Amino acid sequence: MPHKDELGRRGEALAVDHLTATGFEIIERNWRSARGELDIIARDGAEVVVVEVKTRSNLSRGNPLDAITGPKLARLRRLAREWASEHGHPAAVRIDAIGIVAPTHGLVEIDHVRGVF
Amino acid sequence: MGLARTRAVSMVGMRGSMVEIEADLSSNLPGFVLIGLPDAALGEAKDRVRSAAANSGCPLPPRKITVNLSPAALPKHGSSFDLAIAVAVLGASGECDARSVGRVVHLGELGLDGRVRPVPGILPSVLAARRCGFERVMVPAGNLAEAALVPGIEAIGVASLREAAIRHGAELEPVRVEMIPAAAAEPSVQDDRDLADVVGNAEAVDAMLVAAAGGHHAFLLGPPGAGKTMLASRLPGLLPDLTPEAAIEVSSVRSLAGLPVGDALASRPPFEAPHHTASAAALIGGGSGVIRPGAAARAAHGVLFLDEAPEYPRSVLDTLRQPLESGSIEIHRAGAVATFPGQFQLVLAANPCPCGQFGSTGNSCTCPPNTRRRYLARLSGPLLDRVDIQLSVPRVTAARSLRSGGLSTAAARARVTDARGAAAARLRSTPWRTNARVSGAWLRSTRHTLAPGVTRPLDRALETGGLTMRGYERVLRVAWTIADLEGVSTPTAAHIGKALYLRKATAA
Repeated sequence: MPHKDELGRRGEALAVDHLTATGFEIIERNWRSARGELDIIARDGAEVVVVEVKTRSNLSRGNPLDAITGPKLARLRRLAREWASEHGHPAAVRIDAIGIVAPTHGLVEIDHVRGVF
Repeated sequence: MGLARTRAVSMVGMRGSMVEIEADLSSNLPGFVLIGLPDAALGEAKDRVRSAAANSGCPLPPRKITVNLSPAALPKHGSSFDLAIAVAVLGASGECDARSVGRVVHLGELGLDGRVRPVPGILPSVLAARRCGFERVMVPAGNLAEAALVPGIEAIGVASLREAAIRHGAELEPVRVEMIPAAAAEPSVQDDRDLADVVGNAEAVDAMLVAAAGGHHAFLLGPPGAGKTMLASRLPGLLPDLTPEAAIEVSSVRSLAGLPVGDALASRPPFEAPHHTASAAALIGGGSGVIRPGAAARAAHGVLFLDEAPEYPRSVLDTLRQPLESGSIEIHRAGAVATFPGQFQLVLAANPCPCGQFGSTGNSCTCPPNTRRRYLARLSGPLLDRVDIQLSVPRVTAARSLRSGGLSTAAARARVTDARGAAAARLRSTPWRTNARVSGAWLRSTRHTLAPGVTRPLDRALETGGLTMRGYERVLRVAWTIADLEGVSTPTAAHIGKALYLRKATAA
């Protein structure tokens, strides 16, 4: 497995731990459609939340959250709608972003931004 | 999340307005939005601030940053808002103390490396901040000397954004950086252009003395090599030192024009000699975005010398009519009206004809009469009408050159200062300080009417149509100045005669 995929997996695992610890209930992970993939789908109280996880090993390429740009967010919204109609969730789906800085050694930083638009 | 605000200054002409800069951090994906009518250079502040903050060790938070510049209707130009935007954002993120940030006015541009760059217009901006009651202003270290010229407000110079953040309570290690200096002021060279260098043109030297003493505009007409430029360049030396208010205006205009100000206010009257290819915007000021002062504004409280005046486009010269009349320069643009000081002393110089030889000995002029007439007619009547002294400067002959004038600039300035003092004392109860500015009503008022015998040559010229009423008043103004120079309380017939000579010399 290439290093970047491994880092991504590790980041998603860390995100799941973080979400579970903060009271989220994971519904599904790595849901794929013809148009892309959603990292995590979870339930936060009454709301269904689509979580996009971005992981970097250091800040030399900038903050991980910087990588979630306008077009990417638009794709997430389309995918979330697709997932919702497939699973019969008519209510609005919230989108959260989690930026993780996970160096090979040392402390992991998790930045969870709720309800991005 | 956080909200913080601070202040900066937006300059339109000489008037500075306070701009409130609010920074808001909202819990959202990273982004930077700048609102409140920024121009292109100010819109780029986002990228400068982001890089400068990252390179200063206090990166902007990975959240959505909204910066609002209010009042939103006021147009804002240039890069001097960078520092204020950066500290407002750092205040909102909690990196700096938001209350400390809010109490200080910030001026300065940021480099990508986080250093603070000097900006033009510091002096008038700091004056505006003081007028609005602020006690502290943070400026680029390179501009600290200029900001410190304003008493009654504490100026803090910072070399980098890191230093600014530490001043506002950020917990960062100070790092010494190389300060970006402002353009160095020219070393104040002793003006070595002495009046005593002018040889053999005693009448012209006298006329310059009268111009300096009364603040009269002057027109010098003469062949090439007669010494017109030499005379005009000596006029600023004859003027007394600037008053404190004038010194602030002169230095403020220099600062707005992006010229070095140095660590002292200007003490001597400025001298501006634009080339005759100057455009109207270069002469009185203009520009589509930032309205910058032109040569006439830079010459305020000093001398504006236009050599080869007929070579200027007429439309350019005529832009001077409004400042000559009102003493201030107003530039109207769609977005704003900029006002600059316009109390300069105008000196025009011209050759008598295109070949320049008309009237000189040997009469080698090759210009047809019509060409000659048209050449001087390029100076519009209304413009020349506002010029009190119109003198023809002949070429110096060998015999005349032996009689050196000998009057030094220092001695002449002392006489001018005395004469100006006498005029100011007489005009104490009026809004004017120099004879050139007094109104016709004052001249005609019973207290200042001269004896009929004294004004007889003038009255006759008025009756025969040789003088207009306006011309009549101008001769009287010059006569008062000549009397002041000679220490006489009211003009005599001899003074009127000399004043007539100083006006009519070109009419022949």
